[in-house]
Parts: sequence; structure tokens; C-alpha cells
Amino acid sequence: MNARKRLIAFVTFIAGLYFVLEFIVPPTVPLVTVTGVALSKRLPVFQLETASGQNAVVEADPSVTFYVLRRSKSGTFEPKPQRSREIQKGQIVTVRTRTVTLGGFGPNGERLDSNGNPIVLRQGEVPYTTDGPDTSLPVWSFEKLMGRVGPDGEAILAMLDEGEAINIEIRDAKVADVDRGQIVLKMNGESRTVPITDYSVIMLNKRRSQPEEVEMHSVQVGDTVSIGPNTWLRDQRDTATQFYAVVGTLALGMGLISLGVVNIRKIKKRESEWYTAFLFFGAIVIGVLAGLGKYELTGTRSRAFSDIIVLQVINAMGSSIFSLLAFYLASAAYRAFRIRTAEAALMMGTALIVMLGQTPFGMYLTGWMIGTFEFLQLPNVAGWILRTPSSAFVRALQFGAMLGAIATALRYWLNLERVAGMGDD
Amino acid sequence: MENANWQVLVLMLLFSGVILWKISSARKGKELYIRPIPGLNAIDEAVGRAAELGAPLLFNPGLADFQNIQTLAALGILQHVCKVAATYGTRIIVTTNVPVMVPICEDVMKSSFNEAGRPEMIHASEVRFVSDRSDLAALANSRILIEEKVASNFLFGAYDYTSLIFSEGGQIAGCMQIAGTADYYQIAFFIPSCDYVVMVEELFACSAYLSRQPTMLGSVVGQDYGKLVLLILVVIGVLAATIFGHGNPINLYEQVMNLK
Amino acid sequence: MWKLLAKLDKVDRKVIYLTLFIAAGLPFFVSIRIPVKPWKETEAAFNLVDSCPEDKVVAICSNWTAGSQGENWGQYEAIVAHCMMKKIKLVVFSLDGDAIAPQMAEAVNETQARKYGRQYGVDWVNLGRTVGAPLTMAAIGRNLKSVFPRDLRGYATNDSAKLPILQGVNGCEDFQILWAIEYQPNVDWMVWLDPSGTTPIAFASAGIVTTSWYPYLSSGQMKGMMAGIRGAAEYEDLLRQKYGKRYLDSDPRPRGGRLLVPLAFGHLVIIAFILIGNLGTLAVKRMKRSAQ
Repeated sequence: MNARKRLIAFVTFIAGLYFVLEFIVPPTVPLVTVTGVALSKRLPVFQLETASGQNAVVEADPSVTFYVLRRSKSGTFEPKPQRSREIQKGQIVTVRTRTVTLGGFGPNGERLDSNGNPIVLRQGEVPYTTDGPDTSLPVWSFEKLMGRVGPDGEAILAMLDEGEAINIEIRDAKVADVDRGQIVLKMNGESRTVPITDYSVIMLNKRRSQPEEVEMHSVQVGDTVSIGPNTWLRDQRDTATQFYAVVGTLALGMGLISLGVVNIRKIKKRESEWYTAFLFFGAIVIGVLAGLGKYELTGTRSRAFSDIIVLQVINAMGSSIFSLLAFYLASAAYRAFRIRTAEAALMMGTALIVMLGQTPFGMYLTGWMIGTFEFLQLPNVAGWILRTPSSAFVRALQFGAMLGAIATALRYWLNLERVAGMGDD
Repeated sequence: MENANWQVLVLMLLFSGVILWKISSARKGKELYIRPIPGLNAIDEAVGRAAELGAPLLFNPGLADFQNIQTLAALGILQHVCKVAATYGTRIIVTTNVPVMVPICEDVMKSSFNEAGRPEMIHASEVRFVSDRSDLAALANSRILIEEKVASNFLFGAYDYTSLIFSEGGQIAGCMQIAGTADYYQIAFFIPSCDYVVMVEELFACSAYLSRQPTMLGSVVGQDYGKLVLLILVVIGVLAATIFGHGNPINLYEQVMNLK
Repeated sequence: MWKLLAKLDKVDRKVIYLTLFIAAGLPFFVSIRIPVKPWKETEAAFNLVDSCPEDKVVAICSNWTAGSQGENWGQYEAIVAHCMMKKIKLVVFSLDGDAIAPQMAEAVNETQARKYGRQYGVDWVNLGRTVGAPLTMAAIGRNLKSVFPRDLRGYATNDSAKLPILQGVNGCEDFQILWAIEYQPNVDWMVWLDPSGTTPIAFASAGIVTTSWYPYLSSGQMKGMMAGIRGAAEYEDLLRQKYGKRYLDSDPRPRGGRLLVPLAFGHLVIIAFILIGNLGTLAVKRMKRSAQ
């Protein structure tokens, strides 16, 4: 086996292995996982060091969301939600501890929430507004939260109306320590305390459906849960998806290059109808402009241009091509559907019943059959044919296609397929 | 992961085991029989027709991406078509609507021509990306059939509603056409317009049928054994539903338990 | 007589095309209404959408484009009209579809929104297009916002001010139903979206491919289906039956019902020519026999 063939075989095997593992390996490591009924729990607690040097303690209850900065498609860094079990010591995180809806003011001028309780900020917490173009605008300081005047003479939070929401967050804090908590499970009649580690996954077992990963705070007393070490592949699924999407998009460029080469050659060699190659390049320019305008708001010129090209030109042309099918179908059906054998007659009869049954004419023709003979109405007969015998045949075809696909996939995966270009020269 | 369950594990092991067992039997020298598939037997005839007329062949590996199993099967057929075309000295044009298939098809063609001892044929043949839209690819295909005066048209792989435009275009151009797809609802469109149609699982048996290699033949036979296993499971399921099915009027189990 | 009938064996293609053109084109100029009787698959999907609670959304994977709009546009329009009329929240995206699919869907969304007075970001959102099935389907099921960090208009999906509709929407557990609308929807939705298999899935596809979906309907993996133009017409009829004037006032002649008439006539033409062709073949056989 030469090096190229070995490389192709290895890459193919690894890529196929991922899909195989997706359907075989459970999310937690078997035999090490413990399963039982939840009796009680202690939520994870995160010790944070804020950018200003303060120490904060956050318990991962349902109102808490952790964010980690990730690079977005536009190249900027944006906070992305992260599961609490994925937050590791030393990581820089932003924690939204809660979202509060503002109420009125208390007797001492303190700001209340919508339930009439005073808004109390714990150490390290800073309130941020949720609306406006920049949701990262901090609501100055705790004093201002109390409704007092800001340094520029304006009451900032006091300006926020009752019913407006603020996010209370700890931004850019370093995770100093993590206590993942524990769950007490009832297993085989005994209770057992299961500590949650950095690599634990909690799966909620449901009757008659697949287990689902949940956060600790979602576990209720009485739930049957499985706790075990995570399989590393699980957390890389999003990466795999993005890689897949990137490769798919890269391929578009290759197609354009191929078309460009063909058309340039056409112009150079003055092949038949070579002037159509100019139309190709013109169409690329128009397509790019139309594509850029697609994201503009309705009413702008570029959006209007894009809509004209897509909705009126391409739309109409696409429909015309599709309409070819109807005519081709009619001529192909006329040419080919001749009854020469008994099987052909049976097929023809079935086709006529199903075709007429799916159009209202079937009801016109047989709608008079009511009562005991209602089942003989063409739509009912057509429906029965589609739901019963046709379904059975489709299943049989799908079994065959599925097994063929499995066999072909196995051959490629295990490098048993002898196809040139796949390393077998 | 979340999709994992023991039923999938058992079925995967069962089917893979049967297929691998048959592959290993074939490798040990056991003779295996596959019934004749007319569509594949006609490939040589189609290439010969093109050679007689001095016209090129047109091959389309379907509309799906490289990861689609039908496209992989189509590449196996392309390899065979290239080898036969090389012996006749017939030019091949491959059209595709998936950009990533361009270098893959070129590679398959180059390797096949090299293997047939005619490496210079790659310069006469070409792979064309026509459009990423299936309807435009179908029209482009039809145009090439007429412009290049193609003698034989091969349509193998995954197709959608444009299958009839692909095949009817060839019918109007007067080409000999061989089509093959696992999309069974497109077969109804291919049959009136094509001379030969390779249906569903026959497409997946193509590589084995054409190359006659023991490993590949073994996997095809293994497929059929897998179907037998499924058939047995279906029969067991039907019997079980009949005997034990809750709410089934002829539920024998309930009747027996009630009697006790 | 047989000699005359034998001519029917070789009718020119142009005659077939012209007849089909007239039969399919006439209903656009002459108003013909045909009553429809909804099939149970359409009813099931309709009831599921109609019973959508406030905390859930109807998700639509809209991959239909210019080529398949004949079948899919009416289906999509009916579902969007239903959701917008009842103020059911709608999340639309495209997965592995044509590049213009989101734009075509958005044109329908905006039209229906104007009719029913709905607001973008509050009542519906269009997340644009992405690629990478089937892994992306699983990612959508787990965390929709991770797949679509921005929507079609460029708003961040985490921005609850611009897109409050997505505030409580995380994954498939928040979908009342997932509709896949294209010529031939991807079967992988049933496998990859929700490993537990509890998220209802419905397909709105071309009529020809619906034969493949009946096994999934009978096993319960798919909860409903719209079969081509007929499905769209049936859905509109169900809307008409339930909401009457409220639906009809905004669109007296919806697309599905309008297109069903040319479809029905087209079917009749095809059936007629098949019978004519067989009559011609029979006549040719008779002539050969009598010549012998």
C-alpha cells in the first residue's frame, strides 16, 4: 500500500468512525456510569475573580447562564452560552446571574424589582441594560441602581422605566475554583452520594425515549438519572459541524473556477456561440450584486434589485424549467405506457385509480357511493393503496437500498472498494 | 451519543457481520453468483455505439454531493466506463453540478485511463461543472447532448425532479441512454426515456458486478443475506404482533392468559 | 375504422404539448372552483400547528426554490398564513437548500405579515441558510442559536431586544412541530433532530415523492404531511372551514386551491393520452392481424 492510499484509507476510516460512534457509543462511558433515582442534590459553585479584583461566588441555579467569548463569522468576539459542566478552572467567563424586571422605588428610594423586592447586588455583580444598540452598557454603579443621581447630573437607572429588564452579570471573571456539586441517588434500595467531576455528564432517563443531557439544576427529586464520564467526541460535535460547513462552502469556489476556465477557453478559441461566455461573466457580477443586496432591509435600492433578480427573474426562469417536466411527462407517459402484459394492465389500473383519487375528479366520479360502499370512493381506494400496499413496497425498496448503502459504505470505510482515484491506482 | 441505543448496535453488528462474513468467504475462493443486470451489460454496447458513430459519451454522476452513497456507486461505474472507452478510444464528457466532484471525477478518469494504458485520453475527455442548480444542470446536459452530438448518455446517481429533463433531453437527441438510481420515485421517470434502467440496490451492486472482484461480490451476496435476516425479523414481528399485540382481536396470548 | 384509430398510436408530441397547455392554462382565465376533501395526513398536521401553545414555536426548514415553487409555495404560504393569523411564533431557516431559498421564504413571510399585522423578531424570524446535514440537524436540535448566530437581517440571535421570539427557544424541545418544505425533504430530520423522537415532524413535499413518506406516517415518526398542490389546497380548505371569513378576507383565492384546478385538468389530459395511445396500439395490432 503506498503512502497516498494509506492516507486516504486512514482519513476515510476516521471520518466514518465518527458516524459509527454517534450511533453506537452512549454519551457516557458504559459500566462506569451510575444510574439511580435522584433524592437530593448540591448545585455546582464557582469561585470567580473579577477584573476589578473582587471575589464572587456563583451557584449554578436555573437563572445563571455562563458565556465564553468565541470568534463569530464576522471575525468579532461574541459571548456564546456554555454549559456549566464545560466551564473549567482558569477560564475567563461572563456569568449572567439573573435578569431582573424593574419595579418602582422603595420607601428609602431603593429600586425594587417587579415583585416588590429590593434589588440586591452580590459582590462582583454589575447591572447591564438589555435594550438599545449596545447591550453591554453598564448601569453605572450600585449607587445609581438605588436611583441616585449620576456624575453628569442625570439619574441613569432612575430613567429606566418600570417593566424594563436589566441583566445582572459578572463579566470577564477568571474561574478560580469549581465545586461541581453532588447528587444523592437511590440505587438498589441504598442511597449513594455521587460527586460530580469535571468530566461528568448527567443524563435524564425518560420512559420510552432516549436519555437527554441536563444541567444539574434541572434534576428534580424522583428523576432517574445516569451520571458518568463524558466521551470526548460529544463536545466536538459542533466543531465537526462547522468544519463540515466550511468544507462545503470552500467547494463553491472550485466550481466557479471550473466554469471560468471553460468560458475563457470558449472566448479565446472563438468556439461556437462564444459570445455567451460574456453573458456568463456578466451573470456572475449581477449575481454577486443581487446576493449582497439580499441582506439589506426592505425598501432599500440594493434589496429591491436583489428581489427583482431573485423573485422575478430567477423565479420565473426556474418555474419555466419546472414546467418543462409537465410536458415531458405527458409525452413520455403517452409513449411508454402501453398495455402489453397483464402486469402492465394492473399497473395502469392502479395508476389511474391513484391519479384520479388524488384529484377532485375522483370525488366527482365516485362521490355518489355512500354508506356501505363509501370505501369504494376513488379517494378512499387511492388512500388505501398508498397507505397499505404501496407503503409495504416502499419499505421493501428502502430495505434493499439501505442494505446496499450499508454494504457500499462498509467497503469504502474499510478500504475494500477498488475505485481509481480513491488510492487504488 | 444521544442517538446511540442497543437496537442500532445490534442491527449494525448483525448486518456488518453478515456482509463481512460473505466477503471473507469470497476471499477464500468460494464461487458466488450474481444474476445478470441488463443495464450494466449494456454499458459495453453503449460505448461501442459511440465508437462506431465517432461521437463522445456523456456521463453524469448524479446531483448529490460526494458523501452520498449513490455518488460513490456512480464513481465505480465511471471507472468502468472510462476503461471501456479507453479500449475504443472514445471521448468522455462528465458533467456535474457539485463543484467538489470536478477534481474527484478527473482523478477517477485519469487513473482509469492510466490503468487501461491510454493516459493521453484524459486530454480529449473533460469534466464540466455546469451549475449548482439541478434544473440548470439538466438543461446544460441536454444542450451538451445536442451540441457535442453525444451517442450514449449515462445517468447514474441521485436525482431529483429534474431526472425527466435529463433523460427526455437524451431521448429527443436520439442517444442510447442507461440510467441508474436508488431514488425509486425517479425510476418511473427514467423508464419511459431510457433504454436500460438500473434500479435501487442494483446500483450498489454495480462495482461488484463490473469488476467481478471476490471482495465486492462477497459484499453483494452479504447484502442479500442481510435482506433475508430482515425478512425473518419482519415475519417474527408480524407473528408477535398477531399473537401478543395489545388490542389485537386475535391476541392468542391474552386469550390463553384469560383462560388460566 | 381500425386504420383511423391506428393513427392514434403515433400522435405528434406537439399535439400533446398543445392540449396540455390549453388544459392547464384555461383555468387561469376561467374561474373554476373544485371542492376538496382533506386527507387525514393533512388534517393531522393542521391540528398540530393549530394547537401550538404560547411557549413553543413552529419551526420550518424552508428549502423550496424557483423550481419547486409550483408545489411548495402554496404549502408554505398556507402554513405561514395559519401561524400569522393565530399569532403562532414562526422560526424559518434553510438547511442545504438553494441559496435563494431564504429570500423566497422571506417574501412570503413579509406579505403575510402585512396582511395580519405581524412584526419581525416578535412573531417570526428568518435565520437564513446553513449547510451540513445531517450533523447540523442534530446541532439545531440541541442548540439552534449555535447553528445560527445571526439571522437573515444580521441581528444576533442572542439579542433578546431585536429578536425576542428566540428568547425561550433553545432547541427541538421548544418546537411544537418541525416542517420540512422542499421538493424532497431530507429523511434524516427524523433521525438526527431529536434522538428521543418526540419532536413532531411533518413534511410538505411534491406529490410524486409522498409515496415514500407513508411508511413513516404509519410508524408515527412523521406526524403529518402535505402532498403537493393537493396538500396545500386541503390545508387552505381546513383554514377556511375553521376560520372562515378571517382567512378568506386576507386571501379570497389562495394559491393551493388555484393551482389544484390546472393540476386536475393536466392529470385528465395525461390519462386521456395514455388511453388514446393504448387504443392506437390495439388498433395497430388488429390491423396487423387482419392483414395476415
